[in-house]
Amino acid sequence: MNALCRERRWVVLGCLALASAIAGAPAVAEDALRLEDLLEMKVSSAARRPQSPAEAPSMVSVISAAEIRVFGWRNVGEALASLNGVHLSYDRSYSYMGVRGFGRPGDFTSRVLLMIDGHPINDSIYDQASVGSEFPLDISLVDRIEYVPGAGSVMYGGNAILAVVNVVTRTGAGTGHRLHLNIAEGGGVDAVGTAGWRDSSGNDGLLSIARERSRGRDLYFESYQSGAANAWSRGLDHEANDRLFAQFRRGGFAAALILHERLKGVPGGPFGIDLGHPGSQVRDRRLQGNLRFEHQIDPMSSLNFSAHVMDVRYDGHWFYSGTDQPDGMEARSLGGEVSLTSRAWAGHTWLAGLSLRRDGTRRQFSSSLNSNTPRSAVGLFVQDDMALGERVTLSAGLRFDQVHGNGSYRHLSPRFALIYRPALRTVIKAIAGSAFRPPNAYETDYAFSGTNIANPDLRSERSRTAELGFSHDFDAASGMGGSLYRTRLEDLITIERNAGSNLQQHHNVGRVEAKGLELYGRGQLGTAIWRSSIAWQSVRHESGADLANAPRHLAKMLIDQPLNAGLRLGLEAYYTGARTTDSGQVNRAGAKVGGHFVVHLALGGILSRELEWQLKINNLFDRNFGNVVGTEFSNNFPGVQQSPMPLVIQDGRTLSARLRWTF
Amino acid sequence: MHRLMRFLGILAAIAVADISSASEILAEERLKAGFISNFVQFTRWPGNPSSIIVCSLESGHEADPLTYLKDVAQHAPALIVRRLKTLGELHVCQVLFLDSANAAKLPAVLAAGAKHPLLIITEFDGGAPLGAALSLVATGGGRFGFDVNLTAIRAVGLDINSRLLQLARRVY
Repeated sequence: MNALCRERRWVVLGCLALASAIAGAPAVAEDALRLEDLLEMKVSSAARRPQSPAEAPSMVSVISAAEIRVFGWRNVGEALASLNGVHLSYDRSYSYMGVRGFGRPGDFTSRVLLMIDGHPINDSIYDQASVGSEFPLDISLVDRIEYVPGAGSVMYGGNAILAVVNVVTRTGAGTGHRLHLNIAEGGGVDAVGTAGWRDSSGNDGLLSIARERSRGRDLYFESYQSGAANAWSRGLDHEANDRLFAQFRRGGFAAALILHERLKGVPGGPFGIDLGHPGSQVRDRRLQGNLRFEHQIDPMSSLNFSAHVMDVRYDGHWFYSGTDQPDGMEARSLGGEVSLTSRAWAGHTWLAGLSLRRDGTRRQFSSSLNSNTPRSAVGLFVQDDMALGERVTLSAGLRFDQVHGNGSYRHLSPRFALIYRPALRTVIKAIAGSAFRPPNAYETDYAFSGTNIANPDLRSERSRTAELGFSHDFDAASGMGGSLYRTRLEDLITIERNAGSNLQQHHNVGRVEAKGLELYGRGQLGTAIWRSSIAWQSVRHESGADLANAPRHLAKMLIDQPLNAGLRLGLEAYYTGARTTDSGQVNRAGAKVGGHFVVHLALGGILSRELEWQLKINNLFDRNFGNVVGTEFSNNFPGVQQSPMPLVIQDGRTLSARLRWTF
Repeated sequence: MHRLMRFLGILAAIAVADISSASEILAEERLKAGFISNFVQFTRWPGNPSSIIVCSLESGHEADPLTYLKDVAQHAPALIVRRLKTLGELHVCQVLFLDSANAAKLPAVLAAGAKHPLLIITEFDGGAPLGAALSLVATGGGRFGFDVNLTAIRAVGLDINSRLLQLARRVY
């Protein structure tokens, strides 16, 4: 086997995995290990099994904990924004992730499947992928973030239209005991206490408690400016987060408990609320339990079980002329999966599985709404990775989903990826896949007397993506790559105003085509490590109108520079190109907004063995820019707003300081 | 809710009934041992000794990568593991693996090992820029990269193969 294993690097990897799988054998093969193999990073979310990014049926990117530390990212969204083709928007209530130019204002990143350790966290009302400060875990608990762009329904069913993001948590042993303290301009203070341990019999535990408070800034909104009118939202940008994360692992078993409560003030007067009323706020709560168990049946096959239970609640208080109009939701879900992975047939790695999910409560309520539409979903999936000779692999997968709720939806989602390695360090991938997203409860059920009406007749969104990608590593420190892609999405669901009644309603509005080219490079310059990317992207409705909030270009440069005396400098520079505002009608392009350039700087050092510090300056050059938001900020309610507000202003230069004590 | 509890209970029972051995958990230590073994293979000591003494400082930690060195290194030179009680014994070692628990002792180790052909490998990020020969860097997913301080290596009369330099994250 050794001779065979030395033939090709990926065969070696397969052999290593095989050797690891042999019962009782050490996880690293007894044979002298090649350094290249020790260095290889594994990802697990593209095909539900550990594999090198080169083998995965997607152009996968991984963000490591080391990068998170150097650049001082405070949440998962800031880390994701460093990736090629990703842009983040913040409306000062929630953050939204745009993928390959697709970042519809007014929805909740519902086309991205967000997972923690392989368990979904999108709720069942809005399908919300909470990537910003609303993410349930503190960033210090993150071991790595896997980003899998492209159609992911073949493995995961609904939601995974644009991308799958899997946030992998640290082990207790890899964490130890830590205290983090962060202070920031705008009255921000957060503290995180984490205890991690592993005993000699292999029990690994992690317990973390985090508390975050921020007063926020007073914000001025020009759209409300009129004579002596008060255009300030004062004291409304406050935010509070309380988090608890507990995890236990032993062998193939893992159990985790996630508790998160977030309270955020609502500045800027969306939906026509009073601009300055201190009571306007949104409160989000999550209780989630995750279980996973991997059982090695024999050296070639393993069985995986996973289950999650999720209770997500939202309470909003919206003040109109001083009167509270509360609304909210409750979403309770229970889901489980079982899958079998086998290498029993030479040249094949196949996977088959069953997925069940019951959204037992999908309740939305307000003064004029009380709806509850439970939903059940069943998915059957299969995938085979076939070696076609020494240099080519064909990954072929198919998933069938049936969803029953306030409608019935059936979908078949295939994916094919041809992976060709002409040389040891070069990979070319041709990928084609389909994905879908059934309408969520917000889209089908939400109604509000006089403004919004429900639409139970919505159809699912369906997409087809074709992609040609390549990557080439010059050596361990440098490489380049790129991707050319096209996604056609049918029956896009979006909120529009009905002609005549002027009431808002979610509609299927036809076809959208997203296409683009992404290129990246990475390397070392002296002692600095850099990575850089540029994306050209276009997202267009069948009418020819550009979709709102789809930047034509994204360019990014990140530099990690160690300095003398143990100092470490992290520099991020981001250019977001021109995009259009939301006109409220998908077939009518909004006004064009020019691009903006933002730089962040982090400087860190070591005070002693236990104590590290970091200073971070976000928006170093204090650039004034806004994020494109939905028409909820442009509702021209009489006597309130003077002009539409298609952009919400973002923070100027902001200084923060962090201390990290490990003991 | 009862059905939910029963479902979770069954799943937990299956899990606890078949928990993998602790040896699987310690994969990370074996991985580190793999790195140490490779570093030794790619380093040349003056006089080409037939055996290399790999030392660590006593830390009280349960997990120790050096325990697994014999599993992953099967080629010459032979590796002999020794655990030191004091830095005064450092002169017998060709390699010192400094674990995270002993990170504060790095300046003392550097002073004690100066001019002595000692390959200092730190388990923690940041050792190489401070003067250690090599430091492991966690890159996520239980994987590691490494940094090299070529100046420090040459200052004590050691030489390393260029393959290590090609694969390093950083070279100082």
